Amino acid sequence: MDHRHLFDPLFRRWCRRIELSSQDKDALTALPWAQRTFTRDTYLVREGEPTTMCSLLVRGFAFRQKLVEDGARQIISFHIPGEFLDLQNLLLEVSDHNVQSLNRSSALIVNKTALLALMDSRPHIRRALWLDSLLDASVFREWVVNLGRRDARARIAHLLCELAARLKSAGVAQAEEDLYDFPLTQEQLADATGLTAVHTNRTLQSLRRDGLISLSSSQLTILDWDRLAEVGDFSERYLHHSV
Amino acid sequence: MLLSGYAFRHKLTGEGARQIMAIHIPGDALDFQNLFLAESDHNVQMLTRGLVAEIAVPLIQELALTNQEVGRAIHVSTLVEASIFREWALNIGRRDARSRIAHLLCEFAYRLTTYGLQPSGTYELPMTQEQLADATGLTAVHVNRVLQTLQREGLIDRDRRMIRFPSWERLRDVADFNPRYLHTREEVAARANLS
Repeated sequence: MDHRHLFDPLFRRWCRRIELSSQDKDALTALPWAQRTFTRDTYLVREGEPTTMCSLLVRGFAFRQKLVEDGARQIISFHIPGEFLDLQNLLLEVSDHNVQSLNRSSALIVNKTALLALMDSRPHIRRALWLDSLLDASVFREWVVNLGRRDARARIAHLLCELAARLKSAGVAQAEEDLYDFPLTQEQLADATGLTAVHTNRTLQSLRRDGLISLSSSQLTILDWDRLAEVGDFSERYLHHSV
Repeated sequence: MLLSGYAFRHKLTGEGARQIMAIHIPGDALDFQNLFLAESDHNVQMLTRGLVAEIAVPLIQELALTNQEVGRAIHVSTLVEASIFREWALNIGRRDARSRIAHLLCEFAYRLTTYGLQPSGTYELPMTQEQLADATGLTAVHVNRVLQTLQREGLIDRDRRMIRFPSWERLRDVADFNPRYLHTREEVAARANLS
């Protein structure tokens, strides 16, 4: 099966930042990728397991999470098509967190030794993969700030702004209407912001009541971007969209 | 590259509240995170007096992309740092105040001992209570209270800037600390390649 077109979102994203030759692209797509489909909540990577594969999300949403000993869950990032889910596993031996499918999703999976070999032989691919890990890390840092120093309303608003900005940048949102796919449950939102589901629900209602967003059947509409960004203390800088 | 002394990373919110997101010990790289980014998205500040080695970004980029061993070592170090950011998100998002502080202390001590910088047992903790608060998303008053509790329980023993952990196992339990996320094996190998 020809899966070349599945790389389009990734290449669009990379080519804004890095000069990739058609040989670079061909070499990447020629690796022995296998496409797999995941149902909601399926684990793609489990904490503590030896790392053997790398996965590129091509359809649907996924998220990373870690658990504390008593079972409480912290979501540490959400992912959209065109993003790798576990790039750090290329060079780290054991997975330090879990990756789960958020809704029905699909990923291209490759043995990490094949990707490592390609990275070693093609400097532009190395740069692109490395840059992606640095972008992931920047988002993690911002989430630490969000969890540590913003109140509930700002945390939720910040998360909504981030997802919208990333979907818009990836060209998968209906940007003119500020309408976004938003398959997250309130429980997942709570786990991403360190809040309880009840607190999250109340905060979403207040954002709705204030006319900043509307949220219905897996769709988010941002009604007043400027005010939502202000409430969320959101600046796009950490997404490095212009790099 | 931090040669001696301690440093930290932080970001400020619009209101000026500070969140610390990493504490750095000698031998740590301070801004490999910016290697391929056009502008810095956070601040790096010295925590104590220290010595830093600097190199121009294009030179290190060139080295990182052309020298396989050095490139991998730097790459690993940026990935381990990212893992620490993830653990901090968990620490702040889903642990209570007592576990958060205990976790921070465990990480600090574990890294110092692993890299042979301080013998296990007694550590110099170069952070004020305000800085501890900014690293754990708490207030300084709350941190003070937690430190007193930990001291009363015999989990820490403080004398000015020196801190001892009389019962490492119990502290580790309170902290929910598992050093897996520090990827010590990979980082030790990376450091050996870089030095």
